[in-house]
Amino acid sequence: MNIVTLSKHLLLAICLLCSFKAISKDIVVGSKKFTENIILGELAKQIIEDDVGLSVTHKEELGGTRVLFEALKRGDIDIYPEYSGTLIFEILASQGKNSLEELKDHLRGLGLGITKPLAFNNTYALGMRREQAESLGIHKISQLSSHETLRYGLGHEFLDRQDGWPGLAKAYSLSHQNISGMDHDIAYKAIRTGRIDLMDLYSTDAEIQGYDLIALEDDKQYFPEYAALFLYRLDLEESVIASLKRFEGLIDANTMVGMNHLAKFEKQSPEMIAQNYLSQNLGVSGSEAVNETVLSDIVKRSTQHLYLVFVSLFAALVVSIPLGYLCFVWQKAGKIILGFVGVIQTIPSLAILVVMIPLFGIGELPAIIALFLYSLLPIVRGTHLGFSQIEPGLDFMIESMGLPKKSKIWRIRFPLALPAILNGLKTSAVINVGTATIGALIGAGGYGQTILKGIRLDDHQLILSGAIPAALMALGIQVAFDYLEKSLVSDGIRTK
Amino acid sequence: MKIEGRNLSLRYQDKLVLENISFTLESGNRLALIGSSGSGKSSLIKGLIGLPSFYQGEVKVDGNMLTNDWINRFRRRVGYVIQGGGLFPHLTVKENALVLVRSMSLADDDCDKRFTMYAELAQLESKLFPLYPHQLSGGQKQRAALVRALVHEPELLILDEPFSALDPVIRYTLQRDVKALIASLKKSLILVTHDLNEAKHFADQISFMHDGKILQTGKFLELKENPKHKLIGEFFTAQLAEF
Repeated sequence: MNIVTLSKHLLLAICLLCSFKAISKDIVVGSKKFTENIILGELAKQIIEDDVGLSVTHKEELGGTRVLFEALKRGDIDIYPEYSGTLIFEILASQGKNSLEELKDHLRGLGLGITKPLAFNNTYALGMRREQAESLGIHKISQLSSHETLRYGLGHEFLDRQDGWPGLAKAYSLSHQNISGMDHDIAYKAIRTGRIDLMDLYSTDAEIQGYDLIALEDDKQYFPEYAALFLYRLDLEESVIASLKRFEGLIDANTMVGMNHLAKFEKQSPEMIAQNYLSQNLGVSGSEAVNETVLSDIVKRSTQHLYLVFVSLFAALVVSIPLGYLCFVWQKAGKIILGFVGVIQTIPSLAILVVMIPLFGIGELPAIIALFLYSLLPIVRGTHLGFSQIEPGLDFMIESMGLPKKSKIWRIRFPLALPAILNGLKTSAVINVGTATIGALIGAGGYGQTILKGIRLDDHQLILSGAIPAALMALGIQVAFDYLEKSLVSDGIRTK
Repeated sequence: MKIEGRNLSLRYQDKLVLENISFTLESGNRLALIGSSGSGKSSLIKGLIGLPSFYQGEVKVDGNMLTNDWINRFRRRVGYVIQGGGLFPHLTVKENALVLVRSMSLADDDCDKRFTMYAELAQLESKLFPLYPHQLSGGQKQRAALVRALVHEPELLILDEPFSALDPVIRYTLQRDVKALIASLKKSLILVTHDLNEAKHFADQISFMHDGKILQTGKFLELKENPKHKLIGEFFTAQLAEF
């Protein structure tokens, strides 16, 4: 079997694998990448499993509202916990609708539904360290306009959202220059260590009490209500929706803060917290919480990570080597191809991921496609370089010896280009290991999931248990490619 | 194999590298192309076995017009050696020598036999067979390249400055060995050189090239005694002068 047929078969196998994954249809609950949302997601998962007896998957720690909303519309997830204010401002802003009823109508048109509110409101607030607020005499937001040197650390989503910083700054005439965008969990760390003075809070965050922060009074009532509720697809079975509705009016703010506290400060898993809550309040036994050991978690994440890296790398290899060769034999097209794959490389990875959701949903496929796109440049360039660096005298010799075309390519040119091709592959593989960590934001798993969780729980050990294996994997790949080079490249042209 | 070139011209980036060149090489004849650097000698060779479509004019092989359709078949009747050898760096000496015949569906045994025979003729030591080009000296590279050019038993041998850039003792030994080898094989030969002495010993005809044109073709003595161009006289004086 020659290389072309072999690659065709493998490509077919990958496509089949991907489509099988898409066919197997469990109910999927999604959740955003902060603790409260994950606990709510877990509650939904366990109650449905218990009530309806269906198997439910919980895809936790997906990045941002847009990712989840698009995934819900596409049917990649069926349910996720959301907040009324977010839906109204972020998703329906352009529709000019602002009541829950209007919202419901609009969502029905998209095939989506919402439960009634769960009974707690998790609004935005601006928070400060209590002692600093007291020493400056600040207790409401309107007082901030006279303290222009204060340093802000605001969540990326908050900075951009209609109902976030832009509107707030306008409403209170805040013209502060000293604003950094940062992850919500990182901001808690920064405010605790005094690197920033103000951050955006979610009013049910357990950290407010835990770190002795105060939420400044929203004296102009700028922030809308953010009533927690479940957003779901209308094509779900009645029994599933009924099961979700059991939460309506059930969870108040104190209960939610309490559960957030258990996760953040008692280090209980969301599974455990949800299970305890359900058995105490709804008499639901809940599914047995599986406590993953650190080791089994690392094994699982490594498998996912390797899968992402190598499937994308293999696909890139199948496409890039012929493309690189094409650049060599057809220089005009080559310039365009090289320019194009170069441009792809400059697109920020998060942007590629988000753009891909409407097309490919969430999970492994869009992550693999993004990694595939990033892998193109090093391999195409390596291949092109490999073929074109043959010096002119030798080049003429290859052409003028009377060798058949096949021999010219496979006996002479390809082996001569191989070191540069392998180098490109190695670069792509190592870059992929790093970039794949971002895949966790769209539910692709891998080490990024562990790192995100570590950041969310402010758990350094957890962060390192994602970061160190990733570094080791990159190192391992480097070594593997060096070995591959040793065994594939002729001793006559090997440099090492 | 008889080769005729008729009105060959070659233009490279607005420069006329070859201008209306005609020549004839009868089967078994040995021709030296001589001239200073840039006179067009190597271009003539490259055009001949490279791409005929680059030329204006025509080349006939045994009376048949050489075209792209059968240039590869023609190339396999030619053995070609360039300055520095032109060995493929990723192949060993033996692999280099056999790369063409192996692609011509010759049995492995026959390939090996031929290789051993021509290696012996070219006095290429057997301990060099498994080595890569970068492990060889300049003279060894040329011997290996010569074996590669002979293994497929071509009718025409083209040697393009094969002895340049070698140190004098090695060059002398190699020249002596190659001359003996060519004499024993009775092949047609085109030798590209700028060394009159070499031309005299290897060839029965010498074409003197300058600025993309052949100024004169004839035996060594004819050119020496009756140069048709002032430049030829000067070239002979300069190279044969004693001081």
